[in-house]
Amino acid sequence: MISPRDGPALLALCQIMIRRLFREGMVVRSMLWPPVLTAGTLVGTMVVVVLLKSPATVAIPSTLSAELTRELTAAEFQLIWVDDPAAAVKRGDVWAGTDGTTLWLTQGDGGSVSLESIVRKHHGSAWRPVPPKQLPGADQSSLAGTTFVQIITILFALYGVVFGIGMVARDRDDGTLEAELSLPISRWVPGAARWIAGTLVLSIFLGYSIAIFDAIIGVTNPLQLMRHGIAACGGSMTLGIIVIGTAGTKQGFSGPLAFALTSATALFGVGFSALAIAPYVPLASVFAGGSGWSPLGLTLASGVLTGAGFGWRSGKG
Amino acid sequence: MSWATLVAMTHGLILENLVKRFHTASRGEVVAVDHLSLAVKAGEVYGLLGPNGAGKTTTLRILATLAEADSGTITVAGVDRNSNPMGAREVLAYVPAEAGLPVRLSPREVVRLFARIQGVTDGNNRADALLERMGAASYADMACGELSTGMKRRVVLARALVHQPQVLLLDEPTDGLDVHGRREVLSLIREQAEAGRTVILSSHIMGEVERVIDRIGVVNHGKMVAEGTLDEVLAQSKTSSLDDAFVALVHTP
Repeated sequence: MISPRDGPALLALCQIMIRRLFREGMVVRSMLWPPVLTAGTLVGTMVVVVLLKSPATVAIPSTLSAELTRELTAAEFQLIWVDDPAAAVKRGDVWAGTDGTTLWLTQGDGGSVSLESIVRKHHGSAWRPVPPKQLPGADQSSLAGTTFVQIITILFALYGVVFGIGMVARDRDDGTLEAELSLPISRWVPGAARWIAGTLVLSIFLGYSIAIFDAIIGVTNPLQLMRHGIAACGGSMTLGIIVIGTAGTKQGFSGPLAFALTSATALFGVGFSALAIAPYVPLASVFAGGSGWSPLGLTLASGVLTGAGFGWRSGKG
Repeated sequence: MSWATLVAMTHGLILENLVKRFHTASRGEVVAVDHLSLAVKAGEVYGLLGPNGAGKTTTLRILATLAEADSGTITVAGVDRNSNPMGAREVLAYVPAEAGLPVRLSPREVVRLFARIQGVTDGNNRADALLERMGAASYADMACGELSTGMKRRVVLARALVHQPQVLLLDEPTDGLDVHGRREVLSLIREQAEAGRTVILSSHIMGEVERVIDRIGVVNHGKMVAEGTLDEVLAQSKTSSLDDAFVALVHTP
C-alpha cells in the first residue's frame, strides 16, 4: 500500500535517523577511529623505519681486494671482516656476504641488486639489473592500502549488522516504532528509512576511510572498492533489520545479534570459498573482486526487500 | 439517513464484537479480547479499566492499527478501520505506554517531525505552539533522554495532538507519574474532550482516573464485565468506590 505521504515521510524519517546516528558519540567515534588509528599507525611505522634504518651490513674476508672494499664502502654498505662470509650469512649474523666473486644473500631487494651490481662491475661484467615490470596502479603500497580498506570494510559491515539490529530493537522497546507505525504512512516507510539512513552513514565514513588510505599510501581502484563497500554496508543493514524483525520481541537482543554477525561472517567466507558467485554477492564480493556493480545492485534490491519485509512484519502486530 | 450512519456520526469510536486470540507455546490459545463491544461519543472520555493482562493494551493497539483483530468491526470517526486503516490513522492518535521519544532528539524536533509527516500546514509553528500549550516550552530543546517521566508525557501528548486528531487513544497515560504529574496530565486529557475529541484511556489504577472520565468500561480476561457512568458501575458492583468496584468486578482480593 502506498500513501501520498510516504515520500515526504521517508525523507523526513531518513533525515531524523541520520541526525540521531550522528548525535551518538559512540557511533561517530567507532567509525572515525579505525581509519584514523590504522593510518596513524601506518605513518608512524613508516617514520620509525626511515629514521631508525641501519645501513646494510656485508660480511667480507680480509683477502678481499682493496678496490672492491672501497667501492662497497662508497656505496654506504657497512662492512665486517670474517673468515667465512657464507657461514656468517647462513648463521644470520649479516644480511649479505661476498668473497669478491660469489655473493650470499638472505633476501633480495634494492640493496641486493645494488650489491650485485657493484661486484659484477668490479669484474667487468656487462650485466645490468632489470627491475620487474609493475602493473599500472598496482604498486606494493597501493596493494597494502587496498588490504587496509578491505579490513575497514569488514569492520563497517559488522557495524551495519549492529546498526540494523539496534535501530529497530531500541525503537521497538521504547515505543518510538509504535508511534511511527500509528502514523498515516505505509508500513514499509519506517523500515526503509532506517535502512537508507544506516547505509548512508556507513558509506560516508567508508568513503572517508578510503580517501585517507588513498592519500597516504594509495589504493588500487578506490571507486571499485567503494562500490563493494557500500554493497557490504547495505547488505549488513538488511541482515540486521531482517534478523531482528523476524526474531520478535521475546528473543531479546543478544541472540539475534550473534546470529546476524555469524551470518555476515559466513558471507565474507563465501568470498574465499565460492569464487564463482562471490563477486555478485554483497559482503562476499569484498574479497572476490569484480566491478562491484552487481553486489551494489543486489544490495539496493535488498533495501527494497527490507522495507517490504518490515512492512509485512509490522502489519502482523 | 440510516440509524447506523447517525450513530457513526455522533460517536467517535465504535467497536463491535472485537475478538483477538494469541497462540503461545506455554498456554496454547489465549483469548486476549473476547467479543468486546463499546461506543464512545465525541467529546467523551472513556476509561478502559482492568487488571494487568485484561486486554486493554491489545484493544488499543488494534484500534491504532498496530495489531489485527481476528474478527469484529471498528469505526473510528466514521472511518471503517478494517477496510481503510490508513484513513483511520489519519483521524486518530495513539500514545503508547512507553514514551517513544528518541533520547538524542529534542521535544521540538520530535513534534515537528510528526507535524511534517502528518502534512500539517505551518507544522513548525503549530508544534511550537503545542509545546507551549502543554507547558513543555522551557525544555523543548533539551534531549528527550534528559526529561523526567512527567515532562515526557507532556511532549508525547503534544506529539499526539499535532495533527488535531478526532480520536485520542492513551495507553496508561499516568503510569510512572507522581501526584502532581498525574493531575496535570489528566487535566490536559480532560481539555481534549472538552475540545470535542473522543478520548479513550486505559488504566489499571482506578482512583486516579475517576475525576476525568465520563464513562467506564471494566474489562477482565478480554471481556466487558461492567460499563456505564461511575454511579452506574458502582450500582452494578454494589460498592461505594471505584477501587472496591474494581476488586468486586474482576474477582481479585
